[in-house]
Amino acid sequence: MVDGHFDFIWRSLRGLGVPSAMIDDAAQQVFWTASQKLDTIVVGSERSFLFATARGVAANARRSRLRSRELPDEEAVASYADHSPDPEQVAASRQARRLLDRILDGLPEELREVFVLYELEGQTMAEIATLLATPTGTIASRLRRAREEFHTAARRHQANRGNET
Amino acid sequence: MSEPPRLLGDPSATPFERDLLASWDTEQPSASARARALAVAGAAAGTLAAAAGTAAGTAPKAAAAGAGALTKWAVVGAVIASTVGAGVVVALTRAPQSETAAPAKAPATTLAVPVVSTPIAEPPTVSPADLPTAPASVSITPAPSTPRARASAGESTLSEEIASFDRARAAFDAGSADQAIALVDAYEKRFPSGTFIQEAEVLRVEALTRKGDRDGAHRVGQRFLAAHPTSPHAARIRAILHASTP
Repeated sequence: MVDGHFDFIWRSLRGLGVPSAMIDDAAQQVFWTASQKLDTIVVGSERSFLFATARGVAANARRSRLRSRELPDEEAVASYADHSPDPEQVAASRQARRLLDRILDGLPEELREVFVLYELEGQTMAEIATLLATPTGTIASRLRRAREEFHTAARRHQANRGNET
Repeated sequence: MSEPPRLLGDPSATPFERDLLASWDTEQPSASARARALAVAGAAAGTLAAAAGTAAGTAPKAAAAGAGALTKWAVVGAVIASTVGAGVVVALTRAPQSETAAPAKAPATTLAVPVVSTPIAEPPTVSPADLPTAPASVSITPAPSTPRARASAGESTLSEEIASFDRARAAFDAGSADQAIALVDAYEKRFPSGTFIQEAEVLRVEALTRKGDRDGAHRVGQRFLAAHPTSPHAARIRAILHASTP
């Protein structure tokens, strides 16, 4: 169970907003919880079970993060622009990654998870529908809305970045 | 249902957007993170043999490591979990006491199930968790409020369980500690051996702490620690109790 699903669950937790400082503990918690319930997990639905657990764990982690620090979006973007004007590719990728986090944080939860699963994790509509126990049509419409919000946010951040430099 | 092309490979995405999406590739778990999950899952369930079996099934190379290595990892993992894990959790959950207002941005409920304000009188349901000795052939009576009628019996019970627990969490996130406790009661009554029973107890301790019932929080917290001393949540409980101790 761990071997077959660990990478997916780990990245899903990241995509659902678990900060990197907490990610390994969060992943461990998901598999620990699942291991307590091995006998009740329906064969074939392990992934759904793990993902459902991951959503709960991610919600907890976000709550902790909200408690520990509240960083306004603009401030975060400004500090990102200040600290990393370096054009080097690694730094640029790190910047982009951080900005992607900010944009995902701005999406409503139900849009965020569909966006992460489809655009970042490359799951199919059918797989996502099974994972979330939600009709495919609903998934498709969430994806559309998520993309619109992603485009809008990306445009805004790009404009902000233009103003900084 | 047609699958739209992924944005990353779609000409309609701007280069800036493609950079953002491509940055996701840097996300990869470390080998030690995986080893810890494997160890803790195996150790916690007391099913090292099962874990080894699963590992052998999906990754033949892992089988070569053998049960001895797994056992070693289990011990290492358990030690790490109780030290490193505790430190991280303590650091991240230190401030619950100082929190007086609801979080500025409460996370939305993750399920498309309406959050109800009165959880009382949920219809009786037989869940596999109620009958631990016969999980395979339990006949399930779906509740009238089953959110997804087409889900299989196991899935629908799990969905209901998640929805029930999510309601409690949403109430807490919205700042209503009393309602969160009432919903935790409802959850535990309906799913006495539920998947999230430990998480529910953590939530109860948090809610009691938030409403200023320090004695209640300590009583529930200590009971949890006595019953589940090796739970990953134990560190969190200790952190919450520690933070609420004057």
